[in-house]
Amino acid sequence: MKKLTLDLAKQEASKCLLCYDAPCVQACPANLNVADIIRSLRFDNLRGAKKELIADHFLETTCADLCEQKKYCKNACLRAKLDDAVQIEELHKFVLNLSFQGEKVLDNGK
Amino acid sequence: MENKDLSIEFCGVECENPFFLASAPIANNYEMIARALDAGWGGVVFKTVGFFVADEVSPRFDQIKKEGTPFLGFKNLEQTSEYALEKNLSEMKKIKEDYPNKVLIASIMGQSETEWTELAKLVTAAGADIIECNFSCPQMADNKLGADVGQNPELVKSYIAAVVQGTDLPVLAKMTPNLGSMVPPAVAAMEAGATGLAAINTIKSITSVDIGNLAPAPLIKGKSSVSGYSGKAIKPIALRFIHELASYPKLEGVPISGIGGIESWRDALEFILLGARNLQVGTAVMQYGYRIVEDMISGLSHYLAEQEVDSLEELVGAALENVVPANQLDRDHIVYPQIEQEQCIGCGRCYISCQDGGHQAIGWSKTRTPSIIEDKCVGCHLCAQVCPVGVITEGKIKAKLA
Repeated sequence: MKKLTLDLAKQEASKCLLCYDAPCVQACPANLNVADIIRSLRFDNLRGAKKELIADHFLETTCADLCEQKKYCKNACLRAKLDDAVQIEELHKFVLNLSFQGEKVLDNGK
Repeated sequence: MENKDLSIEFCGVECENPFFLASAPIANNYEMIARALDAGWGGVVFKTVGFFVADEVSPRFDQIKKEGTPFLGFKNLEQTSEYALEKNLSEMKKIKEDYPNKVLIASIMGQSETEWTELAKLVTAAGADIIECNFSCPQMADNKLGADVGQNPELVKSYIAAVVQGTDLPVLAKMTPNLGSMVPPAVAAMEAGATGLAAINTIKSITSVDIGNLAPAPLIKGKSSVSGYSGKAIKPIALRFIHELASYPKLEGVPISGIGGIESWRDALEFILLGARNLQVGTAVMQYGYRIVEDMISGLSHYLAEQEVDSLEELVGAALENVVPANQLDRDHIVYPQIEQEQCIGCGRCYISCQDGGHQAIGWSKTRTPSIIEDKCVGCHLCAQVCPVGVITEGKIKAKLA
């Protein structure tokens, strides 16, 4: 999959059903609150999404990669009952790579 | 593609179908209009001409997006034609020569009664079939032009009278939505001799404020202006005004050209059902191109075939009798929502919305199954509105206790 741009990431985040008591979070063995991070992305709180991701977990920079094989969160995603699961790991990487320059969002981290 | 007879008469002019290009950047010159007519549009409203030649800003557009969907609403700072009047008139003439069976509406805008009369004469001589008076462009640089004219019934009356003096063609008054009721200027236009009404023009708007530069978008050297809002987002407002005009007793039977957020045959049909007999499309063409008319023609044809309706005429205003004042609606019954459990995916959106926006009338189980609590449910159906699967339907109906 190609790296997400800001518009594509928002589109992907908008696929999230914003579940009550989100199954993706319940499924994560590392307790990463990925539902809140996606919701922050959905409601345009990009700095909040990144801060939440980094504060939430000591594996923040690696867990999307480490978990690549297992994808517990993605396997629990209810969206898959409609079409396909939200690309949670791609959104995770996207948020991780976000950087900011004033109000400008740099979505490739450079 | 299905292609039934969609012909309909408008202001005494026979139209091969009701789909027209609105007076907008999409109908700016001969070459563009010729391509649109070739694509299947029944007619065109040539972008507003006048003695005023527009000098435009750059950039000039903005839009409202939501969750990855662009163009829900569109803001535009462009004014009337940027070309000299003589060029526009000769292009109008050529359109009628090359497309005699298509309908040409000339949109005009004057700055005085004399100018309105003169413009009417000129576009009549150029071969237009109908004249549309633009009383309602919100972004004109000069106060004598633009939206505020349409808010003033006296000005509308005098300008329509001036136009009628200069032509024997049918005359449309294009109404502004930037007022509380469209009836006073509409009645004034009809009393002064207009043949029909076109509604709505764009809505005065500020679509967004650039939070870095502290100015609305689009930024023109750091500044911007209030200007017209269009696109799908304004359809509900347009339909409300079409209903207002079509249901007003004094305006009964007045031909209406419906404008505002039409993208599909279904949107178009909604305007027809509320009383429009002609339709103008602007923003959707800017986004998708002239080709969208193919699906409008085909979609509406399929609908007519399916419903066994022979003529569009039969559908004009067919929904009007079902729009009633709120005090005439039934308030004696509760329709309970019904959740199709086999198809429910257990996301809990109905539960959240009922908790925070309803009456706490949905239960939630450990197995992620929502259930309706009947003694709390008021039958508002917010749950059905938010359900991403669309599996909450109307269930049993109970009479309220007296």
